[in-house]
Amino acid sequence: MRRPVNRMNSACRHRSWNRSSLSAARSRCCALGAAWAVLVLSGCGASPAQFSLNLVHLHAKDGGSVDNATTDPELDPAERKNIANAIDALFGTPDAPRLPQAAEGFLELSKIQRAAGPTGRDHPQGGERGLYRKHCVHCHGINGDGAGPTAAFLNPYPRDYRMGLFKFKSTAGPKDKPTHDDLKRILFNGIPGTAMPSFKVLDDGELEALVHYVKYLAMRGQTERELVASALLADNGLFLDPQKPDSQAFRDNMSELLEKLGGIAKTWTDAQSSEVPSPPADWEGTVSIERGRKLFMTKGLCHQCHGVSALGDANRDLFDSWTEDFMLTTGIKNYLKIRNGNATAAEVNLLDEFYARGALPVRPLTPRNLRRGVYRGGRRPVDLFRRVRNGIHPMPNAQNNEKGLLNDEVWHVVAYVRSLPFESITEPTEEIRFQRDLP
Amino acid sequence: MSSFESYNSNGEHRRWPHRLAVALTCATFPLIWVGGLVTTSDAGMAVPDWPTTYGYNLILYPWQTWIAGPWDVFIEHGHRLLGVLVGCLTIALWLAILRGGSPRWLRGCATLALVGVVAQGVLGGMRVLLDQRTLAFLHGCVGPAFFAYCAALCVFTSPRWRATSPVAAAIDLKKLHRLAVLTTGIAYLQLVIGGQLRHVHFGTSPRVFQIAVLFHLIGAAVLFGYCLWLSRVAWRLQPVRRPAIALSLLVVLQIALGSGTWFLKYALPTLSDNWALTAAHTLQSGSLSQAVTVTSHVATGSLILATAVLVMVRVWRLSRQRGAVTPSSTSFVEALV
Repeated sequence: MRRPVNRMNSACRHRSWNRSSLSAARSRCCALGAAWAVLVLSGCGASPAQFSLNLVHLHAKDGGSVDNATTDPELDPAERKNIANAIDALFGTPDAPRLPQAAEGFLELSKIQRAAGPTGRDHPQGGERGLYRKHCVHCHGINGDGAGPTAAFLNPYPRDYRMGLFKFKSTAGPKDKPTHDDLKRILFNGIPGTAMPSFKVLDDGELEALVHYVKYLAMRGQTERELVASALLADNGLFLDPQKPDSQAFRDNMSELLEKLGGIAKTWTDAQSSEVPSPPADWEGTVSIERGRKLFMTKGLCHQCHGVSALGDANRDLFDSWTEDFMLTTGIKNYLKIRNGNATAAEVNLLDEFYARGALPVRPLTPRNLRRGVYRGGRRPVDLFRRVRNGIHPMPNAQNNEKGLLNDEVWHVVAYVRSLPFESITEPTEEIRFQRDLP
Repeated sequence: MSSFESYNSNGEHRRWPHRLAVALTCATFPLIWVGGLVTTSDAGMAVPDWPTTYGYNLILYPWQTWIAGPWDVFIEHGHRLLGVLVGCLTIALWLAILRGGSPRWLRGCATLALVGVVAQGVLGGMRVLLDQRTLAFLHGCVGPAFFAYCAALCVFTSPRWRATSPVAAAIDLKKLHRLAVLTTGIAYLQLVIGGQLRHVHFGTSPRVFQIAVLFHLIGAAVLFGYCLWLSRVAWRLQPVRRPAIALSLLVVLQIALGSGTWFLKYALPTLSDNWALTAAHTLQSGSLSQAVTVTSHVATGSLILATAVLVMVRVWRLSRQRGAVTPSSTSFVEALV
């Protein structure tokens, strides 16, 4: 008789276990579903793409500073909204870009439209559209701010186009824009040792569209900065008040803005590659390399950052211009101050405010290790000549033509730099060499 | 006899359901692979209409235009055609199971597979019609789950499903089953996080992306640990020994592919300047090596999930059979072949 009873007990236990396990499984499923929903919604892209204001720049210009931390922002939300509306009216949205009249001379709307918008194709034989979102946006961001989703992992950070400044270009002046071909070359070749890939797989039309779109984003960013500066200076009522489009103040603001736009466009249309003279007759000979080495250590001041050994191990305390753009407001002038924890609480707080507005964690400039033989701006002698003579703007290092290096001297420095990968770091002394040669 | 038998009411095993289940699984894996390639190539919107292809019936789209057309159209339309094949195989499997007098639970499983394949197709179509990356992400998460389910169907319909294997009394099958369930759950969670990284929205902040990557890395380490543990416990259990070991090896391969994916897409974050090889390396967007490595990482994730499901199902089956042991030399792995 015991056996059936046990079976019954066992069955009861089994049933109750089933009930409790079912309920546990249900709650687990709910938790899993909720977690999944959170994950999905965190990446949900239902809203149309929008450009956003450059909050870091706005805070640098209009927020507090270490010296003036309690000052309220001068631009109220209505003025900020007017700036956003004005910039949208001029340049459109990421899905429907527009061009101001001033930009029509050097930018083609059809190419910009091809690079803009969501990725796709309208016809099997037609060109692909949405190229920027397909190839660039995950690093450079929808605003071209260099703060796309993957940016924090990359070293160096992706370029922020909005200042209109680029490192690797053939133009001479510190604030000269790159030429169209400079940007195209970077897209085609990529940058070794960085996350910037080569886009050799794209055809010429696609590369052209992307270059136009990069210039469009750069000009849009520059215009926004000008708008912020104008709004801060304007003392004739609400800046570009849409309620008063016929007012004198509106007309004054608008004509000033269009004038500035014309100025920005001119810097792009004026961009010309700098002349490169022929190298001297003995270039890259032993004497040329030795002269280059001396110039590297003395007149050129190259060793101050790249180090005497040229390993790029000297000055790692500077910021680049994109970082300086907001760092100067905090009062932190060098990276060591952050690394050594010498920044004051007010400075750190201000830095945190920039981080909260989308600035990426600051990093110091890393001078190149010239002994690797890897040159990010191009390895041709003509590229190196321009790097040495013009500097890599807008880095803090001055142009070498400002330091008084003559063209021939620049060529000798180039010869020395090109010899570095093949030169041993420690030259053995005569005595050591003699001992080594002994049997 | 257990209620979970795949034999029909006459006690006969019918071969066609198993053959079709194997064919379905074999066809689903390339579908997952090509689907991964669609995301890698960002070709999801290469064909803007659905269920038609540029106005043509999907099947009747001119093959010359497809084969000789642009890469993204080739991949996207190919993915659709493979989807049709998988859909047809699922219908065939469903009919074979329904007509063969299979037990009710197996018929339910077949119907669920049919519902799953239809839902997945509609999800893919909606992704195109609404141009939503979120739907692409969901589509990418359901695909591997369907593949794993197909692998489970292979086991359910196998003639070895009823065959029992001797299990040493010392092996705690309940514990092993719990371990297999956890491993499967972690494998799927990893897949979901990986999907988030692949389908990341351009408005996502770098911080959120960093956190997702961190979770993915932690998940990889946890999954690897669980797989090793599972392999160790399953070592003494002949029917699941080989798939459990295969699972660990697949995770090792997956970690290597994941590292390769990162290197080929983003270079090495901070070390690139210290090593001569990486300092001089220029990434090539859309290169073959990049596409193959990234897509292999996705496909191996699905393979890991399917293998974990196989182990889980088989251990569960063994735990149900315990007590009615009939010596058998057949191994579970043979059921896969």
